[in-house]
Amino acid sequence: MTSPQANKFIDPSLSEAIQHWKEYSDQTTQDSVMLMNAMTPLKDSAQVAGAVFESMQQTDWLQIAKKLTDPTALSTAIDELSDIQIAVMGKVRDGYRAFLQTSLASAEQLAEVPKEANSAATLLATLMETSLNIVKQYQQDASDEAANLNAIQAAYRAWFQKSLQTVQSN
Amino acid sequence: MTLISGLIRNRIVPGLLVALCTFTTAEATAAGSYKPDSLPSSGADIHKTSVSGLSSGAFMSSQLYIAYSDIMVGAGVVAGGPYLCAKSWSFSTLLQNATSTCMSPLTVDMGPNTPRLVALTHSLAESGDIDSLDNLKNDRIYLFSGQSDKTVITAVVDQTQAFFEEMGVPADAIKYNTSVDAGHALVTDKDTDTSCSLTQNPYINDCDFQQSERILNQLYPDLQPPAQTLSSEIIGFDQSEFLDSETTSMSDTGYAYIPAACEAGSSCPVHVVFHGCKQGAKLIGDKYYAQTGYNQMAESNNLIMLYPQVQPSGRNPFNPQGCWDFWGYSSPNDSDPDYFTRNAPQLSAVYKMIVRLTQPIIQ
Repeated sequence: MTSPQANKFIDPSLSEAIQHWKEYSDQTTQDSVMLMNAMTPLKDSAQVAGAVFESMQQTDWLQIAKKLTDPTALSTAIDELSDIQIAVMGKVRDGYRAFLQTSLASAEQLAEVPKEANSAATLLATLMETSLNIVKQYQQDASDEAANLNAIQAAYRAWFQKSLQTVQSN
Repeated sequence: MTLISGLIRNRIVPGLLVALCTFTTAEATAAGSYKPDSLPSSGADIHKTSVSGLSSGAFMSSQLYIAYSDIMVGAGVVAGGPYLCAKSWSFSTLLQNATSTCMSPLTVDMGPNTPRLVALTHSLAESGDIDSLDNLKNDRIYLFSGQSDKTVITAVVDQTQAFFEEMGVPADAIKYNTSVDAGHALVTDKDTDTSCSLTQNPYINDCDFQQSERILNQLYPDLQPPAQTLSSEIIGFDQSEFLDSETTSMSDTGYAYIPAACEAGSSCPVHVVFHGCKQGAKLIGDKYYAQTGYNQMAESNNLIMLYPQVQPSGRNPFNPQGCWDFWGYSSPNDSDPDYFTRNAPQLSAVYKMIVRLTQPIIQ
C-alpha cells in the first residue's frame, strides 16, 4: 500500500492523522495477537489443579470442620473478607471516576474541534486525532480495569485459601 | 535510520564513548553482521559473589541468591517480593500471583504468602534443588521500597524482609530503606534522570543518592568511594553460548565490566546486576549497565560487574515487556515450570557466566 504521505493532494495534517490511526491499528493488532498467545487455559487449569490438589492434600478437613463452629476461629477470616470488600468498592469507585473523567475530557476535546479547523481536510484531521486520543484514553481505562479485576479475583482466591489455613492452625 | 540516530544521540553525550562502543555492538549483532566475543575468564573469587536488581530483576536476584547460596555473600533487592512469590496462593495461576499478589495486592493480607514460601523453600533445600539454607546465616541483604512505588508496593517488600529473616539471615544484617519518596525505579544521583517520585521509562530516578553505591556498601562493607574514571571498557559478550533452551527470552549479548586490576588476576568478587522489565539494553541502550554507578564502584573496589540481559518476546516464550522470569514463562509448555532452582533455564545460564568469570585467566 502506498504511504499516505506520498500523495501530494492530501492535506499534510490529514495524512499525518491517517498515519497515526494506521500505527494505532497495527499496534492494536499486534497486542491482540500477543494477548491470544498469553491465554493458555489448558495450561492454567493444569497449573491450578496441580497446586490445589497439593494444597488440599495438606489440609486437615476434619480439623477445619470442628473449628468452623468456633466463632473466634472465624473472626480473622471475616475481618479479611471485609477488608477485601472495602478495597473492591474503592476500586469500583475509582473505575467509575476514571470513566467519567475520560468521558468529560472527551466531550470537551470534541467541542474544541470545529474551532481549530479552517478547511474540511483539517477538520477531518483534527477530528481523527482527537478521536484517536479519546480511544487511547478509554483503552487505558479498560486496561486499568482489567488489572483491577485481576487483583480482585486473586484476592478472593487467596482469602479462601488463607482462611482454610487460618482455621486449621488455630 | 534508528541505528544512525541512536549513534548520533549517543555521540553527543560526553563521557559515554565506551558505552557507545557496546551500543554499536548490540545493534550490529541484531543486524547479524557481528558476533560478540566470549565472556573472558578472569580468575574471580566465586565464593564472594553477590547480586542485585530492580523489580523483575529483584525477584531474579532473590532466585539466583537462594538457588546458588553456596557462592553468595548477599543480595540487593530493589522493589521486589520474596523468593517463590508467584507460588503464594494455589487457587491462582503463577502469572496471576506474579502480577497481583507479588506486585500490588488488593489488600495487604492478600499479599505474598510468606509462611507457605518459607515451607516450600525448605522443601527445595532438602531435596537438593537449591543450595543449603545454612549459607544465608552469614550473609547481608539490602532492601528498598519507594514511598511512591505503586507497581511493587511496600507491603510486598516487607514480606521479602520477613522471608529472609525466616530463612536465617540475621535481622541486623538486613538494611531496609523505605524512607525515600521514590517511584518504581533504580535510584541515582543524576539530575538528568527522572524525578524521584515518578514511575516512567526508563525507571531510573534521580533521588539525590547513588543506590548502586549503597547496595554494594551493604554487601561488601568498607568499600572505597566510586572512581571518577574507568580503567577498561564495558564489554559486550556472547550470552547465547550459556543458554540451553530457546525459550529463555535472553538476548544474544550480555555486558560486563572488568576493571584492569581484575583482568590482571586479582581474584575479584563478581556482582551480578539484573535490570527490570523494559530495561534491557535492546530497549534503553546503555542506561542501566553503564549509567547507574555500578561500574565506578567496581573500579575503585576491584569488583567485576556482570549484566545479563533479557529482551521482549511476543510468543514462545510470552514475555512482551522483557522481564526476568519469576512466574515460569521460560518453560512455556510446562504446567509446573521450574524458574527457581539451580536447573532453571535463566538461573543456570547466569550461573555459567559467573563460573566463566571465575576460571583462571588464559594468558
